[in-house]
Amino acid sequence: MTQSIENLLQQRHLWRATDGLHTERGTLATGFPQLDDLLAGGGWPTDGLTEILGDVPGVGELRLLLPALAELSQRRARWIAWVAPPWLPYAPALAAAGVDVRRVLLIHPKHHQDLLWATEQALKSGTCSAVLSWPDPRHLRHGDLRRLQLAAREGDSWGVMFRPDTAAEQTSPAELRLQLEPEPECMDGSGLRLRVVKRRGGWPSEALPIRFGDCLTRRLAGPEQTAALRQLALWQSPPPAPTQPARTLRRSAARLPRATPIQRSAHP
Amino acid sequence: MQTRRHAKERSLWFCLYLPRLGLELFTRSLEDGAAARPSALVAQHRLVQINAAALAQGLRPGQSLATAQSICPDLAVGWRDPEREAVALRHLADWAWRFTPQVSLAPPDALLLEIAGSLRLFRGLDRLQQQILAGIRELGYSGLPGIAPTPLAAQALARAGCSPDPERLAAEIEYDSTGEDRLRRAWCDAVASSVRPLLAALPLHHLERPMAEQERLAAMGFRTLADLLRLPRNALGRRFGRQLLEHLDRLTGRRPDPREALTPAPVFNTRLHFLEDVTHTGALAFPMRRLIGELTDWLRVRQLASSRLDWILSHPRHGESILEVRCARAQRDPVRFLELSRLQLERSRGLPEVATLALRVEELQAHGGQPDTLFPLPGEEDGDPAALIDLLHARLGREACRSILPADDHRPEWAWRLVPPGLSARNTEAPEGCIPGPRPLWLLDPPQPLASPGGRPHWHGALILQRGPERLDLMPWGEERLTEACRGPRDYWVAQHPKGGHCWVFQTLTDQRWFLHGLFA
Repeated sequence: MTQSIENLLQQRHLWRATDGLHTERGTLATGFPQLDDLLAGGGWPTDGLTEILGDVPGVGELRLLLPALAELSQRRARWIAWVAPPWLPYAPALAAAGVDVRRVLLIHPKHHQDLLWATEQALKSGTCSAVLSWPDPRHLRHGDLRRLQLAAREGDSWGVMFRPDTAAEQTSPAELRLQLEPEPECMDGSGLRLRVVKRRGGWPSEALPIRFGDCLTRRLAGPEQTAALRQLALWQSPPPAPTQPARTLRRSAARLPRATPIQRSAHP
Repeated sequence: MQTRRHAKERSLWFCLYLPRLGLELFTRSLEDGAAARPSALVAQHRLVQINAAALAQGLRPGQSLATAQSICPDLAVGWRDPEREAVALRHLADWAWRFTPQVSLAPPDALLLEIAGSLRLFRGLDRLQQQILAGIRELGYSGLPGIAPTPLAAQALARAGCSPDPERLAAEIEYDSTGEDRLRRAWCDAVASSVRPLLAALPLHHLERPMAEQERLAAMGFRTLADLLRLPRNALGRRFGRQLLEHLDRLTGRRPDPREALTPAPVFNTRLHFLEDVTHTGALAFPMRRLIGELTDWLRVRQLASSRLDWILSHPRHGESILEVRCARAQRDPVRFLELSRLQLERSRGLPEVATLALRVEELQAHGGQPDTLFPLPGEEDGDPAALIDLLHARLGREACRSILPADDHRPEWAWRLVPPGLSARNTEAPEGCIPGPRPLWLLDPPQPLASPGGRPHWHGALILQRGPERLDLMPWGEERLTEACRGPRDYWVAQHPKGGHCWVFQTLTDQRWFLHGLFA
């Protein structure tokens, strides 16, 4: 009996809660210390899939990744592939954030099959340090994600899949799943609210506020305050009470304990 | 010194005779299994060359096509084209160039290789012959050897099929004599002594002489070369003319017979012909593999590499189509060439049937030099970044895969440009980001017009303007890239939409219209 338990413990895909968050696998600091504390190995898993779940465009999903992307682009002579991005990454802003733009590779497949193929090839080629992919949520299957997870492991590449909020209810072979929501208290766009749906060596977390260093709505210096602004100030309604987002968050938090065992058993 | 010069002058000719060149032009595009089908080369409605399967069915060269088809309805037929055979022979000469620099043509169906200088490199005539014959078999041709001290004798022996056997001669050669001259001399002597009786017994119709002359000789009772050589020269010359005498002199080595050495073709261009039009692309897999194998072999021998392959598919009624295969870096890896070609072929659907397939490679560069790497960082254990680009290009097309670079311009539409991936490595200037205001990470290209009921912009609901305005005046030049509505000076704002995200909107000053230009993701 003890013997077979020992054998089981040798397997990589089992973790013991007592082991905590230590891991020998490759990780990369996120640039947000409070997030690092939550993640196994203290950062993004750079040889597996990470899922970013969220429905709000412009919530800060790229700024969350930027410090790591900047680090990767500087550190390794590998591509950072963007597969089917919904819009155009704005090169000057990337460069300003410290990303070596020469590493950025934009891939625009024509249909979903090509998208999966391109993502898998990029992940397993061993020539991409990160692959960001925006698959069509209607066609993405669990098996596809599993293939991509294996490809990421094989190519030692960090795969980041952007998926809608509803995907949080399905299981996924990804190493790490994060759900992003706007931070109601950050009207100025300086932060977001993040919840860990799944992570290695840990339970799903409570919502965690993330603060970005820059603040979008810092006033411009100088005589920029024009008459137009004063006019438009009429439209600047007071910040809405944080009713809607907070409620969703509480609801999903309440679901957590039940969802957790299913998550774990689905882990490869 | 005397002997040394003497040894250098002696030459040894290897004739590679291709008795079924015309037919094998077609059959070599088939895999071995398919070559078992009876096939024949036809000229003027008569069979001129047939393969073993056709022979087994009872077909014989000289039969009329109608007879042959009634005997064997399954017969695959190719039409003779002397011009095509000449081109193929020229390609083979290029191939044979690896064995010796002295390669010349013996049209219509033989190559002559001067091999005395290659004996040492290939470790003996026996191994050299093995390599030549194995090589030609791999190309899908069957060749017969002829070895003799003169080109004409080599040719005659090859056609008669009675060349001296180098395996047997090798037993007589002492390899202790390591000096090149001595080795060469030993082989030349051994060949010369074994060729003499063979030539003497050579039937006269294997000499390449006009038909009329051969008939006269036969009518006078001369059968073998020895019969002729026994005659007094003067009498023979008077009766048959100086030309026969000269031919005999060159054959026996009394008179020099210099041959012009071909210069190898500077580019690779080889065509495969199909006995029957190929209707599905799967059947092109083997011919492609064959041509790529020949190409990489050709590149290897010449120490070259290439970054661009052109496949030329000719269609019986629709002209030609060209498939371009490009690699980011010059190389000569057959597996990668094949993979990229296959992807390219899969992409081009709806090709009409194919009559011939050609591979043309003209962009060549030296192999093994410092590769023009994308990222010149030493000591990286990573794969080749260009390999991924090649793969993506081949399946998705060149336009589906781009890099993006910041450009030195304050106008959002001009502040970036899309470039082919890989170019950016050399383009190392990183414009210092003198960004005056907040800039979004996502840019909408082109800007998306927003509804503005009551003058207030809406996107996922009414937008709350939070910061601005920042006035950007788009200079008049380059404005043709913009749609009419976006032209002129603009006021940019950072706005929050009701879902909580932030976006970058602008209002044109001229007609007060609102546009969404970016998202602060």
